[in-house]
Amino acid sequence: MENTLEIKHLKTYFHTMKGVVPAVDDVSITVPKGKIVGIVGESGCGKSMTAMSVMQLIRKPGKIEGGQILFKGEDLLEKSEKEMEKIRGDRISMIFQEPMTSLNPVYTIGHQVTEAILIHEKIEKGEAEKRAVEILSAVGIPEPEKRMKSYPHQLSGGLRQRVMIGMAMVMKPDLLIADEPTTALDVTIEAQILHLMRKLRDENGTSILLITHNMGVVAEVCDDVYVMYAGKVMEHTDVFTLFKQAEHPYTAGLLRSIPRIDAVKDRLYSIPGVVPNLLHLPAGCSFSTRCPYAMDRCYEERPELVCLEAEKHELRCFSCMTKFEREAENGRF
Amino acid sequence: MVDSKKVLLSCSHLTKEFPAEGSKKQVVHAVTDVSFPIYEGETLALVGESGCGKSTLGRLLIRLLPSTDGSIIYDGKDITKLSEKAFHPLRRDMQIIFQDPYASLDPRMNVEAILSEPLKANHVVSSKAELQEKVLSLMDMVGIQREYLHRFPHQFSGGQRQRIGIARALALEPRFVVCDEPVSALDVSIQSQILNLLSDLQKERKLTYLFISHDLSVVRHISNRVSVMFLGKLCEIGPTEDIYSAPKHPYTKFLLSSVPNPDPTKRKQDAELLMGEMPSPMNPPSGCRFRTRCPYADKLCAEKEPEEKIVDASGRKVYCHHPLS
Amino acid sequence: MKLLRYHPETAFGGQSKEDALKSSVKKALDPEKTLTEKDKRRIELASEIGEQETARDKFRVMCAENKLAAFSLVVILIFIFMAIFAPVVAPYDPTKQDLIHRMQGMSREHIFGTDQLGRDIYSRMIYGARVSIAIGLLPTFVSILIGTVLGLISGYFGGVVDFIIMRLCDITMAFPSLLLAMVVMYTMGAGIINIFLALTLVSWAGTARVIRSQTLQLREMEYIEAARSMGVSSFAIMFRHILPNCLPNLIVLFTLNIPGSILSESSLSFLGIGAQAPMTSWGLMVSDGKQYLFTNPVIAIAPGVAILILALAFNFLGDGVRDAMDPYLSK
Repeated sequence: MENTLEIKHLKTYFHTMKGVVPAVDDVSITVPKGKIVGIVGESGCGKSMTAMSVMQLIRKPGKIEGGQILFKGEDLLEKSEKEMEKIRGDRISMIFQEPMTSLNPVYTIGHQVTEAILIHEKIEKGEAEKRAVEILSAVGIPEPEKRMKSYPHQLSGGLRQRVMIGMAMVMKPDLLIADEPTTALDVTIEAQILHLMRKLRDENGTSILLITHNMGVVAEVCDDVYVMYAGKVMEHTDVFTLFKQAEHPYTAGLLRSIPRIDAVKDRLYSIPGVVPNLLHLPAGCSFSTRCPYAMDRCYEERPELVCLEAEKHELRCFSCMTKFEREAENGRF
Repeated sequence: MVDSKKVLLSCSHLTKEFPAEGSKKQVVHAVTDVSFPIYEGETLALVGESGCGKSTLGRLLIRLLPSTDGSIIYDGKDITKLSEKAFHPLRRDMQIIFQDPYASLDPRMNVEAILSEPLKANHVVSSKAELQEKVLSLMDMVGIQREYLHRFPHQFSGGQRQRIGIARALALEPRFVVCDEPVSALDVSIQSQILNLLSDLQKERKLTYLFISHDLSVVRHISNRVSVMFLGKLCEIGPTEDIYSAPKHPYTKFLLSSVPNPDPTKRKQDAELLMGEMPSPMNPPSGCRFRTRCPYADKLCAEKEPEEKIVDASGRKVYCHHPLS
Repeated sequence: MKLLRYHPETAFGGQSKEDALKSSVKKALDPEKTLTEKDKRRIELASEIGEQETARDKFRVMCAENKLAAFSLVVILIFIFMAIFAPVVAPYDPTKQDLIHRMQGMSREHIFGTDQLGRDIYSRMIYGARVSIAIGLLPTFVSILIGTVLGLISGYFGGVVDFIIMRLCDITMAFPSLLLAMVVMYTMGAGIINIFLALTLVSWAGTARVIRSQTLQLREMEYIEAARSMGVSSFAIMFRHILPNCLPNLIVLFTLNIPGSILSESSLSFLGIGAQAPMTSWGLMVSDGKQYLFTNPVIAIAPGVAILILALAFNFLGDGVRDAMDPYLSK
């Protein structure tokens, strides 16, 4: 299958007064065509920085130190700023947690959507306006004719997010990067937005890179999931395997610690401690300090990302490897 | 579950209107005609979407905001009309835990100053040694190490800050605590730590919680009873399990079915989506406030406000003309 | 063994490797087992969030990143040092006349030469710095004090009090400040005390405005609400919570207001309604020297340049402090 985006060994470091912060450290992510790929993790795990690196929106003191970002086979890191400007918005769109910042406050919604259509398609202005109304109603905005004349601040967060997705639909990008698109929204609106994103994928074949901290959102829309922790990918597999048998202690801990709407637990499991400071990462595995399964080796050596079997399940964990090796041996005897 | 059904705090016909910004004539109907009891030792959750007035209601109950109309009875005493001076001794009994652990601690005070403040302001302690002892025991209670006594909020992580906020709220040994979205600003792995802490403290100190949240999964985990609000009014109130297993109000049903389930095998069908947007609290729809988004709404819903209906033996109440069966 | 801190031997508090391994294996079997004190310690060690930025840190960052501000600070300190130790630093008595050696140019004996009465200009400038710097600092300090208290009250209580204080501000700010100061000076008469009063009177309003708006903002913070819910008095909230949080702004206001005061004093003295002879200030010296601008320009230019340098130094320092204090501008 064709891959829309392939991130290979990306390294984005921040050079601060207090030292080098490895915000994204040797991250490889593949987004196949027409798939929704999720990056899940807690704050500071580098998931947003990965997205910003793809868009090349990293500002000082951050710097992409190495790796490749192949977008349809072309390395984005070798593009000039001018070429990137063409790619951003046209072939790769990005929506953010707070859509207010991505819409221009001094133009009406109608003007901005129409403009986007005119950039993309060679049609008359009147026709573009008609299309804009169609798009707005397609993303579920009530009274689209009236809303065309509204300014961004007159809309609620959910409506603004829908306008952003509408603009993304107009552009028909090959890749949509959505950075916590529903975090600021209420659950009923969240469900609508997730539905829209699925629709965008199904109808336009858009590949989506979805960044979130919400396991529910991941389960709801993603095909493939990357779990990140302290700048590194800890586990990668398809969404069904992840929720059925997450192997990495971090993923497993996360899944056990979330309260479920469909089941009652007496007491929640909690991962002890807090996310380590990226400036002072443990010498071994970055999760070793919170890991209930940590072995001696985990405190001393940094585990590599290893692909399990043939079924595309990648893991960065010594104790899992030991377990699998043992299982393999047992199987042989 | 709750054994004694003693009412600790109750409100009846509680209403709050704010003057709308920019215009003197219009008002924002933040909370309208809300009545319910809170039983001693229970956790009553208050759920609803942003702007439904749940935070306002929480603040009204502990008199951080003055109410426009209605009354609040605490421990058999009407506290609605009490002067600030007469209310002062009762203030200790009702405390609040805030959502944002970054905004709720004064950045220029260290842990010691933050935890001493309520004790000093209410003359709870008589000597410096006693104060110190009390502060340290509060730190032990929430699991903040004693060595961090002189640290400032920015030196702590979000979860640790929330622990300090909880310690501060419990310093005066309150009976009733409003938890205003206490875990929604925290990372997933930290959320469960704080939720566990809150339930441990409740058992230990026989606390009564009003747990305000928009996260229905968290609410199911922590609460005994749930009340659902929409646009300043109650929709439904009753035991958590009953409501989650069989919601009677259409809004509750949509709310529950919108929550993304962390199980990819149970993905949602599109038919369950609630469409439309929240109406403006400045001029709410006539009759039932939910009717503009409700697929079951008819003429009656537009004409008449739904009254309280007791639907089953558990005392569950629904405010709907056409409750679901 | 590279980073001992995370090594189990030390992390488990001196437990042997085997024991550590055993305990981790045991825990692996029962991950939900409650944490021991040692584990907590280990976790805390690993998670030192310690991103503390104290005032001293900020100051250091400012000096490192903003060389101009650091240099300005050095210049200001030199000026202040000279003003304080004027009798020691000054080579001559600033009032001693020497009519034989009057109007001399720059020389080894007299660095900036002598004035029309044969007084050493350099020595006079050192003594003049006392007045200029004192006038720069004191009225600024007092006006900021007044402005802060009024701003706090106005912002916290609102209503009628706010209305009255803000209208007073409007009235004060409606006049050009120098004009207002001149009116005050003319009615009260010239003299150093009156300059204090006049300059204080014209500059409190700006501070009051800034502090009021910050109070309005801080009043809505959750920690203020928390304090109220615990029954903390309004007075304590204002001075224990709001004031300390205004402090960074106050420091910036202070450093940025000083050059204004220095310039105002110089202008008033230049116009003859400020410092009076035999006392001297830089403004007065410029005024004295202006008639000899073509015969001996140093008399006017030297103190003029000194005013310029001091005012600029305070401005640069103020900018530096503001940048260091503002989290949005730094980084």
